[in-house]
Amino acid sequence: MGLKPDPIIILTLIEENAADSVPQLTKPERETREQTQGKKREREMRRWGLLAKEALTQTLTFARFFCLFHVTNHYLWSPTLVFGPSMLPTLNLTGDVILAEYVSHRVGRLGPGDIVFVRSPVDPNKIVTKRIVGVEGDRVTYFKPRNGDSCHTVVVPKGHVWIQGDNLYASRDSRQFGPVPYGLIEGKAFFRFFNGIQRRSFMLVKEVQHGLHDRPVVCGHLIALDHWDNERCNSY
Amino acid sequence: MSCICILGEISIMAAQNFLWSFTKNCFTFGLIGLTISDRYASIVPVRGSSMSPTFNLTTDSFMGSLSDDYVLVEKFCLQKYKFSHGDVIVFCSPSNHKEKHVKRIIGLPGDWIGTPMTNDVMKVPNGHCWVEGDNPSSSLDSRSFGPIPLGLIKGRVTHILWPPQRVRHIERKNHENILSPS
Repeated sequence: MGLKPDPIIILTLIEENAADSVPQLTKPERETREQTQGKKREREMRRWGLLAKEALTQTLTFARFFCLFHVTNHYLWSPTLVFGPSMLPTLNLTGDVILAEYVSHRVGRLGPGDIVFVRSPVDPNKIVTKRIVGVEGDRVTYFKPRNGDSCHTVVVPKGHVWIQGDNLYASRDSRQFGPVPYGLIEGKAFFRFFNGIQRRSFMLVKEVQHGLHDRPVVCGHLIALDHWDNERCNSY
Repeated sequence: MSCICILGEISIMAAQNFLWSFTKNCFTFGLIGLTISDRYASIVPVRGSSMSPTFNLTTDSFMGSLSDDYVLVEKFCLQKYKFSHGDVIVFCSPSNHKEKHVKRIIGLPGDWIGTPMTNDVMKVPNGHCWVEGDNPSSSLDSRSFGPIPLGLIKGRVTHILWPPQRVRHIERKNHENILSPS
């Protein structure tokens, strides 16, 4: 985006060069010539000033919009896409758009029964969706369906929460990686927009994975369980 | 009489306009400041002596918070959560999410950490890291609460900005107690 050379600047340059070779003028003539040159320089400074001011205003507007967007998405609410089998039957296998809100976990109003988004303690780049079963001080009883239905009881330590997926057979949660520090909680789910949408059709919304970390499972509940069973149960 | 009323009204409107534009400007700069400190970098004071001599060389209880070091915390490392041995990081305490601590990363996932007290070695699990303070005698770190999940990390310390005579870049320091997978 180049600027066209300003005719006033060109004229001023030519005049400056011409002034060296012109014969001596009388005093009043010299003064008027200097005055016009001064006025022309003033005009061109004002033009640059206006341009700079407009650029600054546009940048400030853009920065304001971007910051408002960031603050809303991190401190208020944002729509999130969740998919995976670990929260069946509450949430869909192939995808749900959920409104996540980021106020409750900052003021400490989270309790058992809330569906929360948690940064996975196994991979910090992934966010998982689970339900809080116990907060600090609670005594939680759980069973691992794969280890011969053995029942365990644990007391949740201070500053931690115990999270479990609704679908106990296809969920990697606190039964595998233990209680999760409260600082890993990113937000709480509180409203569902759509039911059962295709994963591909939503690119703008932040993607969140339930419990399967890499494989998009699209076929049916039981086949999903078989895949998960064969490939994942030995990796922890 | 009416002149005074009109003047009064004009000055009230001018004051309201000024107040409104002042509030708008405060709000804008507040939002911009919050965004920058969340995404790019922020400046925080360091309390306590668990990272002496790197931070807070002198701990006079008389001076207290006046002699704190102010450090620059950068947030670019949170895009991919890639850290190296010897990075100084800010993280939320696992026992109280409202407190933030500053320590150095000694072990990354897969490293074996040896504890000199019990002659034990333990492996840092996936997605966790082992942190220790530079001043082992007065530091509450992974030797007490175990490895912490990488998701609790809120930033990496790069420079000390205040006091002016201590302005410098924080170097990575290697620790002799770990065995990395080769």
